[in-house]
Amino acid sequence: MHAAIPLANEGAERTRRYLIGPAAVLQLERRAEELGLKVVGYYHSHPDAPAVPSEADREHAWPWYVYLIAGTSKRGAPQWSAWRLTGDRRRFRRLAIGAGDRLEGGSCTTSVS
Amino acid sequence: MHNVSVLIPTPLQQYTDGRGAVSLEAGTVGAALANLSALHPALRHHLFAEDGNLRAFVNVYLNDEDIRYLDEGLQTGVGAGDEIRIVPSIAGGAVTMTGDRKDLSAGEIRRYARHLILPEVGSDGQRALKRARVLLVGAGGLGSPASMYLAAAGVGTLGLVDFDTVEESNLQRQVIHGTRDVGRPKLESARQRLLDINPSLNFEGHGVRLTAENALEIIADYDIVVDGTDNFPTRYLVNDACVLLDKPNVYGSIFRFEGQASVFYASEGPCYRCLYREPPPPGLVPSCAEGGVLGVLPGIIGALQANETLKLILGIGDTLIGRLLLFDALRMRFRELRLRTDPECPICGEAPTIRELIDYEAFCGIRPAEVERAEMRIPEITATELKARLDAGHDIRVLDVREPYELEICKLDAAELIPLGQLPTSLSKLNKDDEFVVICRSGRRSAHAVLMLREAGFHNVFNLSGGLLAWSDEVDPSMPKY
Ligand SMILES: [Zn+2]
Repeated sequence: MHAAIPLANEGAERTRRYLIGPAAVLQLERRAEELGLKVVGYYHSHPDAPAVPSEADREHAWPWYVYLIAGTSKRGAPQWSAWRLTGDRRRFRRLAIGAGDRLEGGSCTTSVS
Repeated sequence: MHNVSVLIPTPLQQYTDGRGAVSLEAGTVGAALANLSALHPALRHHLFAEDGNLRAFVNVYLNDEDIRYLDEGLQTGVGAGDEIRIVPSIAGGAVTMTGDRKDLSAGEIRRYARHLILPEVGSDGQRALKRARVLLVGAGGLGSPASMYLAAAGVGTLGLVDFDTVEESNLQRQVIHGTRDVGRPKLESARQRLLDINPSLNFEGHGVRLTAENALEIIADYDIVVDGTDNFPTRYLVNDACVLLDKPNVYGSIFRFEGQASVFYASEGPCYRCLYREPPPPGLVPSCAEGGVLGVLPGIIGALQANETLKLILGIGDTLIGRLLLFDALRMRFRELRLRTDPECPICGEAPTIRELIDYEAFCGIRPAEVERAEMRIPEITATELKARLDAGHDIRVLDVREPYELEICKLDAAELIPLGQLPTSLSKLNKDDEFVVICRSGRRSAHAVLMLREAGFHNVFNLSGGLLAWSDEVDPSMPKY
């Protein structure tokens, strides 16, 4: 992974849900292309909730993308986990995160890696 | 109809052979997407919801105009050379949409309370369990605890493949069946017990033997397969079908005091054939019926299978993908072997040679007993005939090829013990001109022994057909069957 780019949350209910609209996605894709990079996934946080995908995450997920989720609680550092939707859209599969891939939590709700 | 180009976003390019653009003929934007789904059927459920409408997070642009803002939407006509672009929006969040909770009833919230307070399960996880469809192959020692725990945990649909009836000798370990169930089909007995544990379970019984003809059709309908089979042909069949259908196969096996468990999932790790490319020669590895099994052992391994199945559904923890867990009940020790994907694996490797299901009985060197007997011409004697000849004082040497501990259950007084494994080294002690009748529990091991003796030049050798089971039926009902 080369770059993590923060994106604005366009959603109305910003602490519980996130939305990155198609215009932002297209712009991001073009920017990545200019840099010779590829968008491989997205990250978002679950404020005061565990780092496991929610039903909303599953319903809206795309295959292939890696979804990084930061679960946060009032005590302790955010817990990161990585997920990918299964081909039948029924579940997420957890992916291993190596020590070198460790991300530090940022303040933005939604970002792109 | 005009030739248009549909631009595919990276997450969907795996379904278009890696291509970023697909050109096709269409009159409208909607027709172009329908044609695209026809060309690449795996795309359809990522683009369209079950009601046939575009999914909310799928955006479609016609020459850089979002079609949601065009008056005719999907009906908008297209011209030659137009570009239709599929653009993702990315959404989700910590909470589910309002009203989403409603499919857990008050009763379910009470029943699954201990799950709901686990953050790793919660109501999202409980709904995932309810949506899940799990197929158990075999309602025996492993399938009993696995299916009972999965039903109790709230897995919505359990399929069960079994065509056996409950026998008394099953009750020592197959805890889903009770004494009153002896003689009933296992499917009926299991259904009753599982629905008692959880009345909201959707139980799907498959009262057939799983074969190369029906396996794909049956398995395709489920998310996860739990392999509780006790024989090699079915184990390879389940593995191959799961690889071909890209389903996780939660594997368990037991023998005497030892058990194994793993999760074979070719898209994420090795499959069973990566571990054991070919089965052992027939007769070499005794089955549980021949070798015995400690009653609680399948309880332990079957519960591990249920555990891994729940984790796969919930997407939590570290599964046994890529690991083989070995359990020794006597030493009370778990060990773990790391498994690697074999790039030359005949089914999940880089150049697979198996692309459809094969004849697993033949692959494992097992053929129906009648064919085997007819082709190999194993001379036989029935229990009644043997009894008559022994009573008449014929000079017959009866060789029992079972293991020593089996003799404690039952034996013939006239028999000499030579366990099958020791037969090759004992041949020199036997006189080729004597008349032999070889016996075992069912007549299978003794058939191998007869062949071995005949190949070594013994010509007066007979197999007791049906083994001591037949002796008990025909001659001496007081002889215990096991
Ligand atoms: Zn393999």
